[in-house]
Amino acid sequence: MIAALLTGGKSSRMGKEKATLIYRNETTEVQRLFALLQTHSEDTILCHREDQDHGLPFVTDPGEGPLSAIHALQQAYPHDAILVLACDLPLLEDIDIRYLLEQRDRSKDATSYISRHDQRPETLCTIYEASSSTMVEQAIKADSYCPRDVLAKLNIKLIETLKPTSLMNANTPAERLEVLSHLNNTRVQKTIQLRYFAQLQEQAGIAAETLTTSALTPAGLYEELCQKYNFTHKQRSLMVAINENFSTWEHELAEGDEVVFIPPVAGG
Amino acid sequence: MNFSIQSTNLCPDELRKACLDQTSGGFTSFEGWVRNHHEGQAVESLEYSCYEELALKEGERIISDALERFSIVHAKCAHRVGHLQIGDMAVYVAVSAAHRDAAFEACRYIIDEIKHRVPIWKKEHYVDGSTAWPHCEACAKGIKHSH
Repeated sequence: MIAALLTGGKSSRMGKEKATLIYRNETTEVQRLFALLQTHSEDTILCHREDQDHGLPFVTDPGEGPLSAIHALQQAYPHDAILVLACDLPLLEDIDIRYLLEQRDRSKDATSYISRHDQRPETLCTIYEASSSTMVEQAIKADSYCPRDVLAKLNIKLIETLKPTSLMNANTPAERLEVLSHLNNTRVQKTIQLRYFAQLQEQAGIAAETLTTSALTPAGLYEELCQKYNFTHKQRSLMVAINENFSTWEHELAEGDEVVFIPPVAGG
Repeated sequence: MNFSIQSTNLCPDELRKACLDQTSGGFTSFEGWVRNHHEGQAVESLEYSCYEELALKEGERIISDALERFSIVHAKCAHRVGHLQIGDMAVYVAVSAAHRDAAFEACRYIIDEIKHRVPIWKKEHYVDGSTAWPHCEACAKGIKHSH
C-alpha cells in the first residue's frame, strides 16, 4: 500500500505553511508525519505543488484542492490502495494510523474515521482502495472538487477515532494554540459568562449562560458551542468580544471572562 | 456623548440643535428609514437588537474617528432598537462643519462605519410571515467596501 502525505494546501488562514509548523521535538509536521507513515509503508510519498520542496519524493498536486491531489495519486498508482493523510493533524499519532490499518476493509472502496465534528467521514485520514478511483475520476471530470461528496457516494467502512482529539486540526493561529494546550497538558477549567445575540440567541435558545470550559481561546470555545447548539455561522464570519471589548480569536480566556460572539452586523 | 441607542422614536431636531455652532457654515444629516421591500421581498417590519455596552463604545469611537479625520465641528448619531414599522426612522446622523465638503464626507463615513462595525442586528419580518437576518456578505467577510 502507498502512504501519501498531502502538503499542497495553501494554508491561507494560518498565514504560514501548515506542513512546516513545529508542534513537538523540533520536528516539522511534514517530517513527523512522513516518518510516521514510513513505519507503516515503504512506499511513502508526499503530494504537493510543483513549486514546493520538502526534500522528499513527491507526486505533483495540481493545486485544485485535496480531491485533485487524491486524483493525481491514483493516476500515479492506479492499482494500489492509498492511505491519504493531511499534514494539519498535529495530534495524530502512530496508534491512530495503526488502528486505521487494522480496521481496513479491503472489500470496500475506502476505510475512514468518522468526524467527531459533524459525524461525516473524514477524507484526509483515509485508505482509498483502488476501486474508489472511478468515482474520484468522475468527480474531477465533472469539476466537483469536494472529497466529502465523493466519499458519500462510495461504499466505505467508517470507524470511530480512539481519542476525541485524534483528528483535531489547526487551520488558524488560534486553533494552533488549542492544539498546543492539548499537547502540553496546559488546559485548565474555567468559568465563562456567555451572552448571545441575534441569530446565535435564537439558535442557542437562551440569552446568557455560565459555562465551564477548558477551551484556551474564544476559537476553541466557539467550536465547543457549535457542537452544543449547532450554530450555523462559521467562526470566520463572526467577531468576538471579551469583557465588552473586541478581541482576537487567539486571546487566552481567563476565569470569569464575559464572552460574546458577534454575528455579522446589520445596523442602519 | 455623541452616539446613542434608543428604544423610542428618534428626535432628529435635538441632534440637529446639538450641532449648531457659530463656526459652522454647513450642516448635513442622514436618515435611515424602514423600507417595505428587501431583495424583492415585501417587508412588514424590522426588529432591531444590539449588544448595547459594546455598540455604545464602538459608536462613540466612530464619531471620534470622524472628528479626527474630517474638518468638522460637531457629529452626532442615534440608532433605534426594538420593533420598527415601515417608514420609521432607524438611524439618524448629523454633522456640522465650516464648509460643506467635510460635512458631506463625514456624514457618509459615519453611516458606512456604523453599518460595518457596530454590533446592531435586524431581523426582517416579511409580509408572507417568514423572517430573515439580512446582513452584508462583504461585511461578514471583512472586505472593505462602501454601501
